[in-house]
Amino acid sequence: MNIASSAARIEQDVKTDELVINMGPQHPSTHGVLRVILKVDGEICLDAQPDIGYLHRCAEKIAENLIYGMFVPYTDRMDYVSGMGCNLGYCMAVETVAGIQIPPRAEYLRVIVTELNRIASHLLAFGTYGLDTGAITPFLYGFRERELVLDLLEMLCGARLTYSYIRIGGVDGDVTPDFMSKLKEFIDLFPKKIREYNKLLTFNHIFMKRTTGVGVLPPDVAIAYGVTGPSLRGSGVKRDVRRDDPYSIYDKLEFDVPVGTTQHGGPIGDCWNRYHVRMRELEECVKILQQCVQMMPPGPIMVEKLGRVKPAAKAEAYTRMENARGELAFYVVSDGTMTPARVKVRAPSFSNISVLPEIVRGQMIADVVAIIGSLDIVLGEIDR
Amino acid sequence: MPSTLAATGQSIAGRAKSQFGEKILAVEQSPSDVVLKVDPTVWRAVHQFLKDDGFDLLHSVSAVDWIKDGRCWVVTHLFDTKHLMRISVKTEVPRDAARVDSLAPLWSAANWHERECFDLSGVTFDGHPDLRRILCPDDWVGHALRKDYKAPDHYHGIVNNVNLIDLDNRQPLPDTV
Repeated sequence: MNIASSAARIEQDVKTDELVINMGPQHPSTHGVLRVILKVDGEICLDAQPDIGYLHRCAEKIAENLIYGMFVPYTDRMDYVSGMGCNLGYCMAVETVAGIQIPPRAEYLRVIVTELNRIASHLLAFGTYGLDTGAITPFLYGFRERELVLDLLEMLCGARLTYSYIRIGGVDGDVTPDFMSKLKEFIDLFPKKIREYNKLLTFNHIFMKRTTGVGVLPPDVAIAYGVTGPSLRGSGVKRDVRRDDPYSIYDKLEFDVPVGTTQHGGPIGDCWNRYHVRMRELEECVKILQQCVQMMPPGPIMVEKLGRVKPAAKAEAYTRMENARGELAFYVVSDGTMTPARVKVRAPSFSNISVLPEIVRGQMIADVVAIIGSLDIVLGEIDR
Repeated sequence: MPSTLAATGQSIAGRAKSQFGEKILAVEQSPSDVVLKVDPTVWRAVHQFLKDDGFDLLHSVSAVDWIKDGRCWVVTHLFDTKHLMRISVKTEVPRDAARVDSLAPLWSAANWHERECFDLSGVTFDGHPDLRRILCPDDWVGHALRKDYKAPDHYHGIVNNVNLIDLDNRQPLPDTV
């Protein structure tokens, strides 16, 4: 008698009860302080309710009490593995409200640093997803190259995670020749490393067995819940703000938008697809960086005579940008003074984790960790 | 930099205007969106109309407190992911009776966004399936994004030193924690 049929026979005799289990907030695979209230019956999950707010600092209230430029460092602390994106999102919103035009060189520098930061963020997602699914080695490989990216960003602004490099009206400082040569070295080196990651983890048989067909997120459910970014594209929906509603200089750049496929022999929208979209985005990041290095014009990096940022009363703007986790949007409303009347942050992870109950229902307990990891959340921006 | 899709909401705004008449109070253009100012009584009907027209992504629900006018804005931002369009819907409610209909029956995303809006801005959403706090603890008092909000001096024995302006005459800690 094989194992499967004997297991089925045992299942018939065993009566199971519904059980409520707390997962987190201190749990290594919740990527921060996320608490999930799981309702299980035997090994099967009946429900999972995420409980958030453990990192809540009410950054939106802080913004109302600071002048516009002073809020930039707080945005770093929202999505702290992709801080450049948060800087960019906020600065774009304020520039739109106040009608500030920034010089072209600053736009290129902004795109270079946000794409570098996207690489760092996706490498962290790659490494920790390996850990979540039981592979420790990829984490070390991912961090090896992430270190190179963080060194580059440190050369530029002195910080490794909380950059505040992008400022209202431009960027903080210009690149040095040393930075550019190191960046070119990295661009040449990195595609080889992506192939290494794919050999190590992406097409690893055990990893594929662990993630294929697990946690399938249908595209209509994803859109209804406001899921964006790689998690949405994993479900086969080709939506990327950089393509659809281009900001900065993305309309001049050529890159693909990877979406989920069935090449691995599983359904579209499973954990493996969400993971694989991130790996293919790494290649697109390299393409974008190559073009930026070639096309970057000389010139100023900051608006001349920015002066006081004081938009007209009741002026408003809602700008969105594609951060590593999805669509990050800032809604800035002015009351005509030096401080904003309202800054609303629409964090991608907030909507992405809200879909968790839909995916988890009917899955095994052991797969909950794989599903949370595949959504790639950062609690700093969920709780803000 | 204004959005490339900023004006894409114009045609649907015009159709909404002919459908709802004077209940659409104004159609404004911001640097990023066409803003549809609506009467609170048609809040859900307008969203239903937009959803039926293809606006499938509810991006955010937020509120802005205007304490001097005694009013509160409730604002949503919507996107059409197939035809690449964007629009914003705004309504004004009195700030001491801030309530609108819930959009949770239309978009699942509204559930959490409305809970956040209730938690931080104190807007009540009628017909919401589970309207409780989401970021603050359940026993928290007040709504932080109201302009007249004052954080409590103590929370379960934890001293809030932001509000303690008069440090010498501070209240003793409560006995029970």
